[in-house]
Amino acid sequence: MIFTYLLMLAGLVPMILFLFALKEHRHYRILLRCLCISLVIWLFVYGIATMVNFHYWSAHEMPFFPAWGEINIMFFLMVGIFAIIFAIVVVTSLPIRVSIGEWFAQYGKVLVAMGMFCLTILIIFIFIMPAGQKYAYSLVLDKGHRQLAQVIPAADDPVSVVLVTSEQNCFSRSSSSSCRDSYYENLVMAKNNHSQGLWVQMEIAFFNSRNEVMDVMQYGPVYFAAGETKPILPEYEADQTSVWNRWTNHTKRQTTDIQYRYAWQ
Amino acid sequence: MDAIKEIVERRLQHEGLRSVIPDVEDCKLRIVYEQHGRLLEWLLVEKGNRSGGYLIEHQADRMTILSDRNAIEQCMTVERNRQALGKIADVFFNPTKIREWQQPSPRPHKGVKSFQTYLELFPSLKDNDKALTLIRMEREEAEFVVTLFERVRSYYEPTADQKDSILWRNAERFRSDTWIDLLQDLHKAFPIMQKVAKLPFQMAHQLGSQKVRLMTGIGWRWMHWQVYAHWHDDYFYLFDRWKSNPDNYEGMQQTLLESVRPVVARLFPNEMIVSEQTLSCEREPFRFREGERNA
Repeated sequence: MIFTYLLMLAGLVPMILFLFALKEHRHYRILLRCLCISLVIWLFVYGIATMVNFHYWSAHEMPFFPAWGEINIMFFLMVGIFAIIFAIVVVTSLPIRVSIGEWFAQYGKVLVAMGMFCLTILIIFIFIMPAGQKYAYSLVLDKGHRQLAQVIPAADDPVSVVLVTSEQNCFSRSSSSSCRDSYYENLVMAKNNHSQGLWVQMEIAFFNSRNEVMDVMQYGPVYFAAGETKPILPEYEADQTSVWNRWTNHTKRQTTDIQYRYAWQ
Repeated sequence: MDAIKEIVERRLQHEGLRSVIPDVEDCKLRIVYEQHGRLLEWLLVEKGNRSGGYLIEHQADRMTILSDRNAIEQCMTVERNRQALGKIADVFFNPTKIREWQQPSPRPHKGVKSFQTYLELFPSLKDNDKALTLIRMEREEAEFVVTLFERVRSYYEPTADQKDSILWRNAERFRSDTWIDLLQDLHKAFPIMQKVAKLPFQMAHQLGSQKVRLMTGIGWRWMHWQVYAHWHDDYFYLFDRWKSNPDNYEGMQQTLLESVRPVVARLFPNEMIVSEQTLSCEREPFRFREGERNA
């Protein structure tokens, strides 16, 4: 997760730099210099993010952009925030009767700054955040593959199932306020150890550290090709949730163990 | 000169003047213009929302209340030039100046502070041949910068042309053609000052003021940027938003004169209608001695 946050912070740097320049400077030569420096940083950070996105698109078949539904939500959120700020600026400036030109000279910088802020957040959401999330998700998948590779299959047990991760999606430790209300994201992966393809139907129970069942999940029937490994995921609408945001389930407490039973054919 | 100033100061108490100008008690500002051997005083009075002015000519044994529009126009021209020059000087020497495009802030203007630190380097720089060779600066150039900014500073010093409540303006100092030269000199000074950026920090450390000695290498580099930005944001911006070091001096002068027009208009509201009158005074030692005229 730290990579995602670092990338997001780096994505904010060009905007912060230019906004400070707008606050401190007014001669266009100076502003252009600041803009050029911001652009160089912007190209560097967004270049990295684009390369990461491209890598996961070509090597891991993860889509380049987030799901359309997520982009829509973020877009309307940013437009809404900008509209509210615009309305506040207009309403507070109504008592001051000035010409349109003077009005823009006076409040233009505020609107440009807020517009840039909203646009940057939107671009970060579309480019930067997915790059970090894809990286984090791919690490989880790799960990699952390694865990499944270590399982020694029994002759009458053709499918191996492991709990790969159960973590909160927040920056600091679980005791902090930002983590207190967030759910644990669990990912379970399964592998067909059989030399033939199988139809598998599964039931998984999720246990916390006190050995209490928090959730029971039904899965399948799903086809597993011979030797195939895949994450156990509920049915997601493709255009609503990005691939790297898909988890087996969410639990209030951390899952420390799972129990499962399955039928195959 | 001080004697003359004191005499003019006292003349506001003249009984005859009080009878001709009853609202002299409401005098807000007195500006004395010294031009072509004449002493013309502009008396700005404000009462409630009403404001106006009287023009008085002081002579050794009398003072005359004038209604000559041309004389007022001449005073306004001098005042416009004075305000314009003051505006230039403020850019370089007034650390408390509030940037009109920013929120008023009690912090001193960082650009002015950096500029002054930079400027303090020049007196020691002009005597150091090694440093001058290193940054490819002529000794004359360093001396030119020192002299130029001493001249600019003379337009800033808030008390230099003020005696108690009277502002003194020597018209000779504020002639339009002389300050075109100033604009040209400032135009030349900018690239000279930029050469200091090539000065290694270790050498600047030896040459510079206490402030430079306390700086780090990054602080020294940052100061170059601050000075460069200050020239653009505060000086060049007075004339043009785009050009770095604009060179149309007449145009620059006009732009500056236009920008100070509202200030001058506030100082010179409509004149009060009074008939021209001469009031006799005690004969005073009211002659300039040589050398005093240029003070």
